Amino acid sequence: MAMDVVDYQIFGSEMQYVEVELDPGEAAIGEAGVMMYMQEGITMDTIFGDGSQQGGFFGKLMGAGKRLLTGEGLFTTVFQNSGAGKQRVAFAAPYPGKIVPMDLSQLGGTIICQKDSFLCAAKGVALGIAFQKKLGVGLFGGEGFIMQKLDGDGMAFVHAGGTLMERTLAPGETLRVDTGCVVAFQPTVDFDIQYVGKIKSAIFGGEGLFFATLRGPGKVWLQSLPLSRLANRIILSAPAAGGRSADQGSLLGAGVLGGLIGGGSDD
Amino acid sequence: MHSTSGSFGGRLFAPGLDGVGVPAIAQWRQGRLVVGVQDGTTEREWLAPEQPTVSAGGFNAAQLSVAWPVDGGQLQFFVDAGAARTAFAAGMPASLAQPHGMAQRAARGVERRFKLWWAALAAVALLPVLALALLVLRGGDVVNWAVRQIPHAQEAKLGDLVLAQTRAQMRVIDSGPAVDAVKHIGERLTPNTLHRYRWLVVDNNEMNAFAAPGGVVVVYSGLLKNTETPEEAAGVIAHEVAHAELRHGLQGMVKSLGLRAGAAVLLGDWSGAVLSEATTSLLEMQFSREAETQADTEGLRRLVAAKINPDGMARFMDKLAAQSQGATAPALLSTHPASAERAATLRALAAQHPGPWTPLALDWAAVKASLP
Repeated sequence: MAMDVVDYQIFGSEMQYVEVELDPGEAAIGEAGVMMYMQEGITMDTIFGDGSQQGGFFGKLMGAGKRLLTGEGLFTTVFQNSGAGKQRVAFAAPYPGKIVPMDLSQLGGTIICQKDSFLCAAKGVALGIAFQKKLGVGLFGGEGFIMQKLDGDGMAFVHAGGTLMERTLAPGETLRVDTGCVVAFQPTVDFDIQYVGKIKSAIFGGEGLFFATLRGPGKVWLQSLPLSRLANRIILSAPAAGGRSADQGSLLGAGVLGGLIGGGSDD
Repeated sequence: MHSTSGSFGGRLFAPGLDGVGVPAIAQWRQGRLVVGVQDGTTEREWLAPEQPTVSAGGFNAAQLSVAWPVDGGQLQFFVDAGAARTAFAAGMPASLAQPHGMAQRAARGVERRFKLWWAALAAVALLPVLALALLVLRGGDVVNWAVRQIPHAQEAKLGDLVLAQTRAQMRVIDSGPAVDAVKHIGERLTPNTLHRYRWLVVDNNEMNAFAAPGGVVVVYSGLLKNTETPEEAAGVIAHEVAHAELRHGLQGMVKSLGLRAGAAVLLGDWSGAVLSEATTSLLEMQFSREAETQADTEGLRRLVAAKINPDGMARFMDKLAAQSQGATAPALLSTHPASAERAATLRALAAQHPGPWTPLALDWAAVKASLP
């Protein structure tokens, strides 16, 4: 299928959104619920699957089933410019971080990314599922097990939490990463999940029991703040969930006085 | 860019090239790989050594990689999937066949191990369901197997339980001509048995008898009073003995227990209520019609082996059938197949055995008179 070439512009610094310009007839697909605004002339259509399947009903059903596995909705929303001139539609990132534009044609046509990190793409980009099949301890690697594959030669936008790190690995160059911090990588990168090996460091060091090993060649994208880590901190300090309302600098602890002085100004 | 025959595509990573790799065309030239890329308007070519490193690489080891050291680092060329891999394998020198085969096996191994893991996970998840399905579909075989695993000594303990329950609920006649007569008949019917039989007569006017696991045979006085000859009583006792010998009581227990245990596992109930419930229902044990028919056949066989006239068994069935015409069916009938039908079947079976029979040396009138 011919890819729709889209022009785009990213706005904001830490809470970004991407504005995609569509020529008449062009379309973009987005995760349900990430659309921010769209101009007149753009029509929204909800389709089963991701709009890239050619095969009949069964193919669509398979595609939709795979989307369920990666934790996404069964349906994707297609934003098509049915008007005369160029029109714009914007997609916003769901949590603090950076939007990563990826030109799949420059990257060899395929990108493996963390599930949930996909934001939007030109229509024609296929969203597939990619299992981390190197097992051993990989099965217990948690976040790195079920991944998503973006196939095509158009633009795709992926969201990274916190600060983005882009790194091009030379052949044989290795990077060890917390499993949750991997956003995306080229399929030429060897992605493996390894056991830390020291229970002590896992329990007292506060890191996970597993980390990901990325070996080049190829490009990798890392995020400094996985959503799960952010959510964990928020829950830990949310009074409603049994957390403490004192911030880390408070010497007075969470007593009445601490509460008064803290004044609920933070956390 | 070359596009000669025998060339194949891939992605090249090399010092000086874009770090995300560039599309490249490769071909075999005198047993050595030549990789070329279009760099702007100029064309660049790399010539592989005779023995480059061929391996499986990339995500899930799904890529076929050829690597060799070059000035300023390492070069790595990934052969495209599909036709390009075929062209690569077709043109490569024999010296590379072995590492190429290993790379393919490595890629397949990752795939296979992954599928095995999934199969194992699915099996564990489906185990309770499969166990229940097995019990439902091949229940008979499973129950028989389970019953065979239970030693007779254990079964006897169940019998003790029933004995205690019977003594608590009914008035047991401990001695006298009736008990002796039942014991005499029973022992003739059970030579070389593995059970330790306990023969009981209880004071109850119902026309009933039952056998519990572990060789506890209970005959109601009402049943003895309704017999004309000791052979008729022997027919009923033979039937109950057959239940005990065929371990129908255990089978029934295992069946109901197994289904309940299966359901408990599925529903996640580990409170142990299942076991206690199963043991309390021993007295209310009911056998399936299939078990009853089996017991009839086996009972008749035992009668014949003991040289007791099997006609008595059929005659007693007639009596039961006649009674069932009345307003209230005898208790024995409620769980048993239609008596007239059974009598006919028994007659047909008995006709195959002409005898001669040894009469039971019992003063039946005295036995009946001794009953309260």
